[in-house]
Order: sequence, then structure tokens, then C-alpha cells
Amino acid sequence: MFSFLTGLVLTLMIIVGTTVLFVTVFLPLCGAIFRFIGRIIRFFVQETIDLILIPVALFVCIIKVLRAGLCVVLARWDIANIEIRAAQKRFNEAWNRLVALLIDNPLRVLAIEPSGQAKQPQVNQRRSTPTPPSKKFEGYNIVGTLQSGGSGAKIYIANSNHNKSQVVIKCFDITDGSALPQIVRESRSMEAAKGLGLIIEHHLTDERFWYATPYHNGDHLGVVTASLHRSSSHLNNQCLRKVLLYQQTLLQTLREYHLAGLWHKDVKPDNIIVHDERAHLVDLGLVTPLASAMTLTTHGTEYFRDPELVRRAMRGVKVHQVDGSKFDVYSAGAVLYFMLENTFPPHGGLSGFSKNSPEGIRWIVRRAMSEYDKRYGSIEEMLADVETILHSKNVSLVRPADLPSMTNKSVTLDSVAHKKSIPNQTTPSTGGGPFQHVSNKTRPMGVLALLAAIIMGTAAVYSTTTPKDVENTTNTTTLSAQPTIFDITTPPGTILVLDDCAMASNPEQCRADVKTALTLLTAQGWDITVDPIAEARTRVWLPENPQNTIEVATKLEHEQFAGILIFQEDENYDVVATLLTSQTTIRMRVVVE
Amino acid sequence: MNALTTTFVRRLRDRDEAAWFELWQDFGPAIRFQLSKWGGGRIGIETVQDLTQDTLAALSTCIERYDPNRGARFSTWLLSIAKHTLGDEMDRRNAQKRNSGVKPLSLDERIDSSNVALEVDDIFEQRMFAAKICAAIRRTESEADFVQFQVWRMRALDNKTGKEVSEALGISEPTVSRYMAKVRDQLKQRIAEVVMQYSFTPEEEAEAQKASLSGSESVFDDSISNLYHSHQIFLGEEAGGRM
Repeated sequence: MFSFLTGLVLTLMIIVGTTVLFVTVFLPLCGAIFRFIGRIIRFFVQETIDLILIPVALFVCIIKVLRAGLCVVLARWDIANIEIRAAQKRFNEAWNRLVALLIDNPLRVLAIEPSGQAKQPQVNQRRSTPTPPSKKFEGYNIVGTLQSGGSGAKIYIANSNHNKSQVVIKCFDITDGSALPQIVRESRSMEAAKGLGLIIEHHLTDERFWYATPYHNGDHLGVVTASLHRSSSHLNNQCLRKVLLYQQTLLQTLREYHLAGLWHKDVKPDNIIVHDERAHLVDLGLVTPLASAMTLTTHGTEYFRDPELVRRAMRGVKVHQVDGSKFDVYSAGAVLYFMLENTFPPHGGLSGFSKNSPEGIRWIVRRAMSEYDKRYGSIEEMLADVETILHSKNVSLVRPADLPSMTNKSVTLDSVAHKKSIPNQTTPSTGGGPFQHVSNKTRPMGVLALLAAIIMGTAAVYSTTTPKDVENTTNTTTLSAQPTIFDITTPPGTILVLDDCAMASNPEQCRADVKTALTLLTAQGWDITVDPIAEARTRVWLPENPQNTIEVATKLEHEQFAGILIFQEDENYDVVATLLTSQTTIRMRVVVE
Repeated sequence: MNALTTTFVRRLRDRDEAAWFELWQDFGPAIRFQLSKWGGGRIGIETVQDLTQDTLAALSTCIERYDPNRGARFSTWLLSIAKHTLGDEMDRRNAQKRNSGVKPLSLDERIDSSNVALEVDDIFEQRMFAAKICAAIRRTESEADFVQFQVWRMRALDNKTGKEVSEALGISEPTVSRYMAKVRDQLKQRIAEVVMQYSFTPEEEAEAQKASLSGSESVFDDSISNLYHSHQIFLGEEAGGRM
């Protein structure tokens, strides 16, 4: 009996011991052997590839150098430059492969990963391979990149070191080929969007401008719509509800824009990210104040941009002379059409429907994409119609006759759900780390306090004047009643020149007038500077309708300018100049003989 | 040329932006399609877009010298300019490739000196005519009351019955008929206007009659619906190729 038990225990011990040995020694050993064999195979494959490609790269390099030489002989410097760069690239490739052949590949056999080739973090499908930016963004770790849009900016996904949230960083770098006008436009839009709390942080240096906005981890509406339509040829009630829900959240966002006096100007599926069952409107690149005095531009995306906008822009209409929110209404209608049809509206408001969809929803699309003066008067009207269908038991049974816009019934709109508010972390300055609030406080002391009181009083008087009053005043003031730029006293100090001729009806003529005016002013003893970098920096903080306020005075002092001279075209297509100093704002005619 | 065409040509000559935009909006797709076809895959979408703009820009110079006595159709004239614009582009590219230093002929020289017989196919002519009809529908939409136009649209273009429309909009069937008649009358006027405006020859002016647009109301609605839908398909294909 005892010997039996002993035998049993011994047997069990042997089994356990063998199992432990198998798991802890044999399996890892096998794994290591197989991995080693794998590395050996990979080594030979990689060595063969490198051995073949090194001479190929060198050969191409030599060819490129010869071509470059030929181009130099033919005096085709531009092509020679391209060829030299291509040759350099090939040479680098050959060198890298040689290093890999002799060092990296053998090291990999020993399971040693060569330095500088650590694995990048995985990112979702919308992101491409992370490309580390040439310069870091202080306070953020880049984890991925997004496809750049038409602006030419580089777009990164980053983790904030401050609160670990993810953000999108849009960066315009002059050294990477970003154009200054684009930076100026973007910085204006960003300035406008700050009021909505959509900008987490922004920075402007001599070389680049970047800003951070919240990141929404989801697919854009084009992808989501395609997946909705993939299941069947037409949308069922469940899908239609989703469509209406996205449309509702989009309209709620647009409503906030319009209430804040802004206009998005580029509403399209690519700029709508679906996340948490909500449509998030992104890309603030074209956001414009509804009351802007700038000339309307045709920026936007074909098929989602109202043709009326193009027509009016070609006539040189100013933004404040139209209701920009109605152009957003058109785009929102085009987006709804896109979701119903899974394609863009090729024929504008006349685009037909080829897929089954409820008449009530079609009516909303047609109303939104109708002629400028016949469409919804506001985004709220459209939202009321959308919510009426969304809240019905069967979305397919709601008739156009039941919609509030047809019955003229007033409805209470849904409150906005899940709205994430961004803490007030916007920095109006040009420096500082993430969420570091840098205020430009004026010290309320002595003469400065007196000056501030006078300026604030003046600002208060200005602020009580409604835009309509301003417009009337502008209209009633004849140009001849205004002083000319050559009549005023020479300012004591450097004057920075800002030129808005790009927005003029005849930019070339405007620029010629400005050039002549500047020559004459210089002859009169004005200290004038035209500095694109300072201009871009100034446009970031300069208000749309600049007036001498405390902030302006402080900024001018900080920038060490006596004033800013802004050239632009007025409503009569005449070039006018506005001189903004810490004491005064003067609008003057520019009469160039 | 009739008075409407003359006025339109004068607007183009006066660089009226709205007239140019109208021309671009109405006939841009047909020109783009034709250029793509001629290009036979050798020219990209962006180039086609540029060439279409070049065509209209060339038109702005040619319009000064347009001679109505030569009797060219509007569509042929437009196509002729498009063809020369494309030819000029191909010459330029070839000259660049050869790097021979030979400067290609300017577009003006080519248009004035050449008298190339164009093979304008029926499909292009149909597209041009459908574009004119759609331009007329757009003008009608812009002047008609929104609900009244939608009634006509649902009946004529969406092929809904009078009963379906009256139920959907909560109006009586006689009202539907009244709205239909009103919008149809407006549309007939606009079609006459647009066809006259974009016609240089009597043959072009008579196209509306040929297309059964002067028949009974139902025949008129059917013809408009067919033209609209064919243009819709064309626009979808043309735009789809560019996206």
C-alpha cells in the first residue's frame, strides 16, 4: 500500500516536473529556436534585397547626376536642381541599404533592433503613418497624422501632456511650403472661432502658425454614409433615423456658430466626423464672421457650396451685405442629400433623387437648397423640420404638409446633448505651453489708467452704435468728406502696413495704388515697414473692425509699432486706408494721381 | 442673331461676371465632357477643368470678333473654341517635350486662321439642348413661388400623381392643377427665352419645337422630364468622373 502511494506520488511529481520543464524550458527554447530560424531567413532575404538594390540605387544616382550635368550645360537650372535632389535621395538610399547590409541586418539576427527604428504607436485607420514634425509642439506628443486638406497645412493627432486628452494640431510652416496668405486667412478664422471655444491653444512664431482643437475619433460622414448604404439599396427606417440624428447634431452645431455671429463656410461630409452618434463639424479654416467687412470669396467645396455665393462673390459683394448663414443652410441641405443618395448633388438644388426616401426629408433638402431668398430663413427653421421628423413614430410617414415650416407652427427645439465645453485655455499670445494662460493685462496705473479710461469711454460710445448705424454712417459719409492719407501728420514711429488688396475687385490696381501711396508717404518722411511675418502675427490678434482699444495699444507697444496702416477696398470700390494707433483710428482716402 | 442673343453677347463682351458664370454653369459640364473625350485619357481631370476655363476665357476674346453672318451654331462655335484650346494645349506640351524652342501658335491665331470642319455628334447637341432646358428650369425656379414650383417638380419630374402631391402638401387637387399650369406657363416662357439666347441660327431656334415642347401639356411635361433626367444622368457621370 505504502509502496503504491509512493509510486503514485513519484509518478505525479514526475508528470508535474516534466510539465513544468516543458512549459518553462522546452517551449521557450523551441520559440527561441523558431524565432532565430525566422530571423536567419529574414536576414538572408533582407541581405539579398539590399545586395540587389544597392547597385540599382547607385546606378540611378549616377544617371541622375549625369542628367543634372546635362541640364546645367543646357542652363535648365530648375530641372538640374530636381535631378540633384533625386540623385541625393538615391545615394542616401544606397548608403542606408549598405549600413543595413553590414550592420543592421546582422544585429537583427541577434534580436537587437538598430537604434532609431523603434516601432511607432498604432493609430486608427483614418491616420496615416505618423510622421514626426520637424519641430515639436511643446506640451504635446504626436501620435499620428491626418490627411491634409486643401489648405496645405500639416495635421497631426497629439496627446496632451497636460490632461492626456487627444487633440488635432493644424500647423502651417513657411519652411514646409505653407503660403503666407493661407496663414493669414487661417489665423483670421481661428481668431473668429475662438469665441466658440473650439480652439484649445494657438501659437505663432516667425516660421510657423499652429493651433490645437479637440480630436474626434471617428470616421467622416462619407465613410459612415457608405456603410449605411452598403446593407441595402435604400435606407430603412433605422438608417433614416441615424441620418436625421446626424443632421440634427450638425444643425445644432451650425446654430451655435450662427448665434455667435459666425459662418462655417465649408460644411461637407469630409468635414463632419461621426463620433458617439453625433456629427462633429471640424476644420475651422474658412470660418468667417457674419458681419465681416471683407469681400465675399468663393472658397468652399464644389457641390456643397451655394452657386449663389459664387455669383455674389464675383460681383464683389461684401460678407456683411449677405446673410452668410443661408449659405450654411444650403450646404447642410447638400449634406442631407448626400446621406440620402450616397453621392453629392450634381445638379445643385435641381438634383433628383434616385433612391427611395421619404417625401418629408426630400422636402427639407429641397427647401434648404432652394434659391437664396426662398430657402429656410435660418438654421433653426431647418432644425425644427428635421426634429419634427426625427421625433415622429415613423419617419417615412411625415408629409411635407406636417412640417413646421409649412404649417408656420412654432416648435421648441431640442436642447443640445453631450456638448463638451472646452476650458478657457485659449492663449491670445504668441507663446507659452499648453493651457498656459498668458494674459495681456494692462497695469492700471498713472497715465496709463487715464488713457485706458478715455479709450474705454470711446469704445463704449462705439459699441452702442449698431452695425446698421455704422453702415448708414458709412453710406452717408461721402468720400470727399474724408481726409486723404497725405493730409495727416507723419506718425512718430514705425508703421506696419497691412494690405487687403487680395480681396479687392481689382487686386492688381489696388496693389499699384498702395505701392504708389507708400512711395509718396515714405517721401513725406513716414517710417513704413512691410513685413509679412509681422503682418501674419498682427492679423492673429487684430480685430475684424479694428479700433483703438486697450488691447490694440498694448499689442502695438509689445510689437514696437507706432501704428498699423491697413489698405483695403471700400464699398464704392475705392482704395481706402485705415491708420490705427494707440490714440486714434482714422479712415482716409487714398488718392493717387 | 436675335435681340436676346445680342444682349447676352453684349453682356459677355462687357465682362458681365453673372453672364460668364451663367455660361460656365450651364455649358461647363458639356464642354468638360467633350474635352475629356477628345483627350482620350491623355489629359487629367485637373487639366480638363483648366481647359474648360481656358475655353471660356478664349471665348471672351473671340466674342469681340464673332461674325453672325458666318452662320455657325452656338453649340458648334463653343465646341470649336474648346477644340482649339485643347489643340493649343497639346501643341504646347509637344513643344515642351521636344524643347525645340518653337513657340506654338496662339489660340487667337488658330481660331482666326483655321476653318476646321467639326464633327459635332448628336449626343453633344442633345446635351447642349438639355443644358438649355435645365437652365430654363432653374430660371423658373428662381422666379416662381417655392411651393408652386415644388408642386410642378413633383408632378412633372418625379412623376407623382395629382392626388399624391395634394396629400403630401395638404392642398386640394384643383390647387395642384392650378399651380402646375402656372409654373408650366412660366417655364414655357423661360425655355423660349433661353433657347433664343443661346441660339445663333434659325435651326437652333427651332430645336424646341423639334423636341415636342410645343405640344399638349402632358407631352410638354413628358419631354421636359425626359430631357431633365437625361441631363441629370449626364451630370452625375461627368461629376463622378471628376471626383
